[in-house]
Amino acid sequence: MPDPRPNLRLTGSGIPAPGPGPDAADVFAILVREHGERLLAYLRASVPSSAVDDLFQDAVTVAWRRLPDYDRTRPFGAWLRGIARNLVLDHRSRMYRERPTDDAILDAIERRAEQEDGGDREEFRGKLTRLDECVSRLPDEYRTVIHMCYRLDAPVATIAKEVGANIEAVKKRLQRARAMIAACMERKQGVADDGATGATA
Amino acid sequence: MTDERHDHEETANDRWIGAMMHVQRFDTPERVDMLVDRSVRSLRAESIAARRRTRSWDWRTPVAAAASIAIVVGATLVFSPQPASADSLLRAAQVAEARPGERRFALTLVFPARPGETEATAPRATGTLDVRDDTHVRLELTFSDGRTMVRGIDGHTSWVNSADGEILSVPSDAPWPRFIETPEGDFLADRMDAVLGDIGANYEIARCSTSGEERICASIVDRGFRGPENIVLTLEPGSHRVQRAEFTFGGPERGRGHEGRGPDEAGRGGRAGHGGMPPKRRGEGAAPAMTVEAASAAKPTAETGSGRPDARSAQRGGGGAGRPRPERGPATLAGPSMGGGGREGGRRAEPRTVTIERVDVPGGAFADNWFAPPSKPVRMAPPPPRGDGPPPRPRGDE
Repeated sequence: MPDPRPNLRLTGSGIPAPGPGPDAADVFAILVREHGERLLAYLRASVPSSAVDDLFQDAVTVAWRRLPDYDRTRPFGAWLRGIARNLVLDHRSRMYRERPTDDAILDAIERRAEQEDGGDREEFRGKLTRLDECVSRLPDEYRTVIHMCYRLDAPVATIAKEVGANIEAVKKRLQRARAMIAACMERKQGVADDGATGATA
Repeated sequence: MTDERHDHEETANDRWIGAMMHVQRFDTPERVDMLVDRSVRSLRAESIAARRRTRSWDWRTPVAAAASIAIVVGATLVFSPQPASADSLLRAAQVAEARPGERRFALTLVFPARPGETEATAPRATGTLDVRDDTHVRLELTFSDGRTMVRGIDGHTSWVNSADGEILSVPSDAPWPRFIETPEGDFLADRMDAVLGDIGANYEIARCSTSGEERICASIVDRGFRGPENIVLTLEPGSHRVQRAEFTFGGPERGRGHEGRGPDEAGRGGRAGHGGMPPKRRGEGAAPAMTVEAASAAKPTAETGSGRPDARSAQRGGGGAGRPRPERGPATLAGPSMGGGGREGGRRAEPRTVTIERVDVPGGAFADNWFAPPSKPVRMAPPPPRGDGPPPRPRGDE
């Protein structure tokens, strides 16, 4: 049976071949697109928003250059994220004057991201949909702060003023809201997995 | 740099949920595609630039780039009135432009007037650019003196005519073929959709309609971008396809078009003045050119030719007289000659304006062999000379 996977080794180091049909760069782009949202989620969790796009592009560039070294037996997404992780660490070292993200948090983010390796792009988009559903089911006081924080980009101080609470109370409320969202998503994931299992049984 | 969001996302779970919220909000599939496209595009450009450094075959007609910009800027403007979904719509334009489709553009290139000439009598070239997809392209130009140059690629063979009528093959790694070379010169976008991602940033666009036409005027904003100074687009009502595009290159200070100038004057790595674009590579000097106004008011200097065939130049690049000349470094600032073959002061002029008009493809489709060489190439066109010295003089000048 022919190997359906693109033979990146053969073409990855060179100029895209002329002529019709996908070349190495096209295939590479397809793979990166497939993992794009997940890579962005990892980066958004790890570095400030202002650095996300640059690191994303850097990761893609480095991945392309190292493509000949890519072990095709490994998941492409994990390999790509490994490259991104090094870039995140490098970025962190350059931003040492600012509040760096702890190693422990970065490691935990890495583990969290690993959980997404098994799925595909559609599955990840499905999680984003479930995220929306979970937000909509939050109690009002939590949904309000989440909405103001993540949809309106309001600073915590502004939210505090709006909801008539102090800043620490808002931070705590946000943290609880995120925990509730995570729990909700896990439940929904479990239901989705059960459904998939049932469907294939 | 801190992120206010991260200030209150203290645990990994906080960060992850926060990241998911942001991905859901910002990182639409279209945006992800755009980011990937941009990255891959830069990789391609990098590869091509590296290839060019090792082999300086060059095809530097402004025509293809102008065609791409016309459509790109047009699409950008057409979709700009809906800022709420501009990204999505721009992506839709990218998708649309990425589709293969046979199309023909009628071209008019006007070169700076020579001493004693008027705007109306300035040398010019007319022709067509036929495109099926990024590997089937044919450019044909006829210059004022009657000479023609043709270059094409049929998916396999890249070829060019010589001044002697021979068909020469061009090395398969020649930087031409994939449809578009942007004005940057060191950035090859082989697909229109790839160009769409960046072009909007370089031009200020406004509607300048008269008598109900859908007309767009674009002025360059990013001075680091080596495109034409001004673009006027006329769109086809309904489809919003670019029906006509006029490009004006260079400002008044660039009127010397043919004089070689170094980076100090023209800007190393900056925007090449090159009135006709093609482009210098990054780090090279620029060739100034004239605007329409400057050309008519100021002393014209660019020269487009004695009209004698330039067999040697054909040998160098395979294009025959008037064919694009190989890039030669800072001393060859004028870039490719598209206008008649002769030169003054050892430099060729570049077009001052390029007009592109979409016309019907004859019979609705090109013949199967339209993009193929008319006969089997007799030999490989030799690579152009290297070095920074002045280009060889055409035979007629000797």
